[in-house]
Amino acid sequence: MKRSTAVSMGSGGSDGSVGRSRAADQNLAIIQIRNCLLVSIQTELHDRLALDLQESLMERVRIADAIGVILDVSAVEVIDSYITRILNDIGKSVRFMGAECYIVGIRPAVAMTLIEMGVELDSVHTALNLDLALERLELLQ
Amino acid sequence: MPKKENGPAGIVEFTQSRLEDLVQALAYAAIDDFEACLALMKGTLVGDSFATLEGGFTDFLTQLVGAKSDLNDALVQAEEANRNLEAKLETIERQQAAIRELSTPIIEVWTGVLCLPVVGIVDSQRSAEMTETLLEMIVAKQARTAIVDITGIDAMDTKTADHFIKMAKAVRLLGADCILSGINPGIAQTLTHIGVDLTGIRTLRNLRDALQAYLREHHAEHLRPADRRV
Amino acid sequence: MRTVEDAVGAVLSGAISAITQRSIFNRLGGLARTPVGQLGPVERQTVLKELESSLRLFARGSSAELLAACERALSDVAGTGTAASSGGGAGVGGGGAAAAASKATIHKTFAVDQEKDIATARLEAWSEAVRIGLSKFTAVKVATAVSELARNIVFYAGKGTVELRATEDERGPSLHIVATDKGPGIEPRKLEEIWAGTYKSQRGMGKGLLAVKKLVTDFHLDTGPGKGTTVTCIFRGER
Repeated sequence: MKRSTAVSMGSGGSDGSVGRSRAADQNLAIIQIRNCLLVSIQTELHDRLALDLQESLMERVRIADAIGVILDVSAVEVIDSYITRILNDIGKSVRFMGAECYIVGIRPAVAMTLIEMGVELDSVHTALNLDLALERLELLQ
Repeated sequence: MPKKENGPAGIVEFTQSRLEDLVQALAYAAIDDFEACLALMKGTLVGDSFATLEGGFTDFLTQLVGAKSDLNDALVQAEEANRNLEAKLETIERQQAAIRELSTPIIEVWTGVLCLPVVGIVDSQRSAEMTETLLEMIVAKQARTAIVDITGIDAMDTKTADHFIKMAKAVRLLGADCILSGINPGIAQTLTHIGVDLTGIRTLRNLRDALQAYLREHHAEHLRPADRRV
Repeated sequence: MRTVEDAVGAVLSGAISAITQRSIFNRLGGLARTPVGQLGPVERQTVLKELESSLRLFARGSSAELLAACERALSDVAGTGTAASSGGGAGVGGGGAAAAASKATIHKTFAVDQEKDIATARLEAWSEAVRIGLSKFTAVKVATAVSELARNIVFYAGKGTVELRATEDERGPSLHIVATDKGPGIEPRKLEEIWAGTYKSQRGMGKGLLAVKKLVTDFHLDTGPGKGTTVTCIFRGER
């Protein structure tokens, strides 16, 4: 990553006072890159976990005054309408906190399937990679 | 193995063992052990009419062995011919794949700009293949813009138009820009007719316009860092 | 229809050469081609006598045992004998056992009772799709469709099954998927909304069925209040 400067792992915000988030407990580490947050989705996003992630992100956006949240789905092999809704919900809730959400790393087959299903990822933006997402987020400022 | 010689004509003298030998030889033949069978019959002497039977049997069996061996050879040849045929089929398949690839080349015309010139007949299978290849290349090259040029297509039915719209939407979903160039009036009518939502998909008259638009918009990125005005 | 030839051939293969078997059946003539089920007691005895004399002369291994086995095979009217081995018996008669071994169809069924079953069903469906030669893009579609259907089962009915059947015909390979549950079923009005794309359940689950319909080659839905729900769909690949 060309732009990474301050990278803090887990749940520590820039003031370091927040305790460990539930999402982090379940191996969904939220990484801060400058004024954005990055999460890499590696596991099955079922109900409980998705809600936890949503809450953690909203909290971290507030604390870090982040302008964007980037979700990396390059490890996700199947995105169905349910997961799409979760992603859209995360996008909406992050927007409430004044930030925008970018999804990066959608696999070609997954993209094609989503389009054929007629399922819309309408509350999030998409970008080819982390760099481009960061670039776009900065432009939004 | 005791044998009997010629007796007076019409009287055949033979020992039980000759009969048993014949039956035993038959038994060997029945289980495909022709070697043992023929070995058993070798001891026979030409002579009485029973020997004619033995001789006849031996001849018959020798023919059988020969026929079997011929059959085996034929089988081996057939198998080889089969293998040849399969190799040829494989070649044909490879060539077909090559033809398919050639008919839809995706060219990187500029850094991060892919161009897909579409020529000829586009059915659902071909459009699916084109889309898959385009999407994979976009990810592989991290190309930010894909220009799909349909100058080579005269007319489009609604189904084909739908395929192209899906292609463009999928490109956008990956995070890249999609430009459709070369839309002639007839196709423009079809697109309007099916009431398709073209938001986010740019349409330009031809490839040259598309490239010009791209260069204009991304001009700053391609300057050397020192020349960039921040 | 298992004929005398099939039944006896299965028993004798490996013990008697193909040529000898052929000559035995030739001597039996029409009897050899008679279905075992239609063999009368007298005819059966005729066959066994012929077999007995041939076996005594020609067979490797105990002829008495072989004869007994033949007798059993000829009494096995239901034809539940195992498939003919490919040894000496192969070229003889054909029919019966050989015909059943045409394109293998693999059948798998999974119970879907909880969330983790969704991932299992998805993975199995994806593997099957790849195994039968569907393209990797199609395999992802298959996995996604099964994910939708399995999720619907878990969320709406609590439990159900997903059945996968892979087949192949002249048109190419195809994967049949049947998702069944005995849940509340979908009422006609909701179904209308689903197909119109306007239905949205509390948990936002409404879009799955319509999505699956758009993904598959063939789609069939059987449902109704109190009837449970069965979704049948087919993915076809190219030759």
